[in-house]
Amino acid sequence: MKDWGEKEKELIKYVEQLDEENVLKLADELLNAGMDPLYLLDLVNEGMNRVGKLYESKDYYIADLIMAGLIFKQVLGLDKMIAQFQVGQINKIGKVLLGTVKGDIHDIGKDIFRGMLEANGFDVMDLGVDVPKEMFLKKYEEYAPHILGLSGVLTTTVDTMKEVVDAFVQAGVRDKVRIIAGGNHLTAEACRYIGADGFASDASVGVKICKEWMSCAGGQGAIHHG
Amino acid sequence: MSKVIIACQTISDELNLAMRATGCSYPVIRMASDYHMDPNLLRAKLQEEIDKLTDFQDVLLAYGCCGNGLVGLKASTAGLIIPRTEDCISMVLSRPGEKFERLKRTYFLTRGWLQGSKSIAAEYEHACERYGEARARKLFKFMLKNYNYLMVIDTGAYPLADCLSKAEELAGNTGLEVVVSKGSVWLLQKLLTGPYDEDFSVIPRGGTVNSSHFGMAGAAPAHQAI
Repeated sequence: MKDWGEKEKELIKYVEQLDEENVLKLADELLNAGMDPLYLLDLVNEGMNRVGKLYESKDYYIADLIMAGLIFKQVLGLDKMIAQFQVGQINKIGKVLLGTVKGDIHDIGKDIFRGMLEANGFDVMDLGVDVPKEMFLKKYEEYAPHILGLSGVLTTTVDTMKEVVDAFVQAGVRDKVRIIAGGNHLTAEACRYIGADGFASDASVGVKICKEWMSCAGGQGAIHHG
Repeated sequence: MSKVIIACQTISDELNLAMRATGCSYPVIRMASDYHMDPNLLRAKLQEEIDKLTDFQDVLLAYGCCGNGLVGLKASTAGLIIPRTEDCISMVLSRPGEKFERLKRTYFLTRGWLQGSKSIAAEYEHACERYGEARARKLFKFMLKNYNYLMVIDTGAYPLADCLSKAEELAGNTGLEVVVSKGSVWLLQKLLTGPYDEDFSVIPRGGTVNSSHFGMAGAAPAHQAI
């Protein structure tokens, strides 16, 4: 593989610093010089992880997370990236049905998770916010996803997420889909109560869990708790 | 001394009003507002304070479930008395004996919420400094796309005018509509005076807070820290 030297570090740094202009300029330059789009995405992901850490350490604000998401989207929109992902259409690694559960309209984490899933080769159907359990079930029947992602921020969404899982049990389809719950109020115990197969309070951890599930080739595996 | 109060800085004005109204003079430990962004950190910080106490029979926690931030707390040095409410929004907007229904598409504000170092006002200011006003507006349009209203809750605990003018400025910049709603400190007053009936959970010394103490996830076994 070609040695990109300092350019790699520079790209990660620009993402970390949310330097939109330089991220796009350098990403374009590297892609035109022959960098594998998937490798470039790994570098951008590393920058995104650093942004996440800076948010956790209170150095960054929510607006910065949103800016990071917008930069990420623009990188995915570069010509060579679009070409890569169009070719990759037939090689999607899995389908995820995603939404913020009823009673909650928070979606910043969900949107970051969706972007990272797509960048990692997943096909995602995002139902938006305040999604009732009936809608999750209806779209499950239409879309037949491998994974169902339930998102929420409010404390009460633990119960709402459980209601969605229960609806899937009642419909007899619970065993056909892996369920991941997302939100910073979740714990392993809450995850068990909800009846989800895994949970994450960090989008990158959530993506890691989904990738692990898909690498199990849809088989039954251990419950993953991020 | 029999009782001590541990309270979130966000509801400082409201607690002060409740103390004046009831003639309460218990000592107060005030905790930074920012912990609500990270329930695990909030739990750890509250536990630190509780563990340090000596000679108190009860700790009055001026909090709600707060994203499960209080679930898992141990009554290590004294009994814990906690309002059975979701968070500080339900705390000041609920009415005695009525089930609280959270208004949708609404961002809630009081003076206390505006004063936090990561408040929506601080977010906007940060975004303007970092990205310029035009870009900040775009970021906020995206960030608040699920919101229509900016509700100033008039709890009677602070002069409304200042808060209202800041809210109007913020609403002008973010495309939201300001609404004012009457709130109340009845639950805080009752926390100070008792009786500790169904509006509260009382955790005796040696016990641990679980989700059923907030009237949520009632069917969960007591050992589950949801």
